[in-house]
Amino acid sequence: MTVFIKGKDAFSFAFKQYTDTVYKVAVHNSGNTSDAEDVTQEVFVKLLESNKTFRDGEHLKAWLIRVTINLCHDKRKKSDREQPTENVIPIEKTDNTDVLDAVKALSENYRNTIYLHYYEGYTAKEIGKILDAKESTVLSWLSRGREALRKELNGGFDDE
Amino acid sequence: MNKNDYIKEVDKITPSDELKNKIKGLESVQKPKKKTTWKTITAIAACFLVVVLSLSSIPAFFGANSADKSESQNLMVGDEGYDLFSDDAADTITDSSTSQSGSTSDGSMKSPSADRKIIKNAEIYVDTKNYSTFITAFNQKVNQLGGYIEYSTENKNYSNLRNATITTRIPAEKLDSFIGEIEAIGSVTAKTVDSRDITGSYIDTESRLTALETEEQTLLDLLKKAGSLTDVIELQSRLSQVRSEIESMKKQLAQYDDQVSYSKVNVYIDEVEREVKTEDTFFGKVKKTFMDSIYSLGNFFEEAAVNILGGFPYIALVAGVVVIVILIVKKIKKR
Repeated sequence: MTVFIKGKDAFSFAFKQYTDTVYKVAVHNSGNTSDAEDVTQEVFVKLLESNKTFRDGEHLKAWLIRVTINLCHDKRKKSDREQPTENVIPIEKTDNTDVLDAVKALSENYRNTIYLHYYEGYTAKEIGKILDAKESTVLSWLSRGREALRKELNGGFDDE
Repeated sequence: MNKNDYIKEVDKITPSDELKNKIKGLESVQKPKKKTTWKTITAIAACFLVVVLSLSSIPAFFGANSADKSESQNLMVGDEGYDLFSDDAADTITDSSTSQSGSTSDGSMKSPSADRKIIKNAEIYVDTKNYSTFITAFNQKVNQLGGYIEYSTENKNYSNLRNATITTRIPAEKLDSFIGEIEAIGSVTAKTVDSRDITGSYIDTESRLTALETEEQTLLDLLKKAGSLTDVIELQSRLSQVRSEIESMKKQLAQYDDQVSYSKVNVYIDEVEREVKTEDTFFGKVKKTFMDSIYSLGNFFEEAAVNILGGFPYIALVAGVVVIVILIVKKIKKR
């Protein structure tokens, strides 16, 4: 059964179900909380403006994630252009490195793949659709991301 | 183990109530905005296009100007384009503008390659059937072009196929030919080239360095003259502060120079059983051509914007003269 959602219905559905997801993705892709909050708002503005029809909740969710990642990407590019010197490695290392910090320090595709797979439970194929990449590419991002985390963290980043 | 820690940490990331309220409030605001935005954007884009097209002759003119300074003055006054303003008054205006706008055009309207500090980095994804041959050829190319390998790692996946991530530094001017070489020896599935213009920050750092060096000299002079011990101690402490700042400025400049002269290229190599060359299929070709045109269109607009903004004083002057001429012509016609 397919349920189409559109306009304000999509907005309230997204607000109830996916605000957390959007914010979590934004935090993964932003330098600081205030940027993440800005992007979260912008995503919902975009949703209202687009007036797009969604096949179902999953379709809506995937759209929200993609838009969030793109907006964060644009925002970072913009601030890089404005203050190029501040671009260099924003995350400082401490002795008890948080796993989240380690994930955030990975490059864009790696960290999003890690998040979407381990937290949201998407398969490589689904991630490929969201990030517009081949399944094999996603698998290699995943393995390389894990590899990088293994180097960074004690005890690796395994499935068990 | 860390996976569960990660999930716990992500669980804790939740939007604040304030943010939620803001989002909830969006629903009641919103709407007729969209049409007007599009209209404005289209109008602006159209105007921009007209301006760009009509000014396309100006960059060429400036190009000739910066190519040879000594000739450029004669060229400006005698140039055909300025025969319009052949009365004496207009001639003097053009003359004075030569000396004034000469510096602007040299400073900001120069072709981007000349003095601009641009950091160019690239990412390349490659599939290859002959992994070992590819790696050997790859290393050879890097050496040939005067580059070096900064970091590399190799793994095997579950079906025993190898993959590698290699970070290389290639002399910036050879980046394009390097990418071409890679495309020749393997099948490139995706690539991005990213340029960042750091001219502004570079000049800032340079001028701060000059200022600090001047201060250092002044402090040294003062130190020679200083009488009391407290003066000497105070001057010494300021001096060491200035010197450490000078050091860090120099380091920063050296880092910039390194980044500008050597492009960082991340190459992700996957061993595959079958290579798929994206350019071979119809849609692959379309996609490639499309991306290429978007890129060159982007370059075109960037250059146009630089020319327009940089040449603004000049354009304003010409526009002013044109307006005056039109007014005079209208008055004459009325009589």
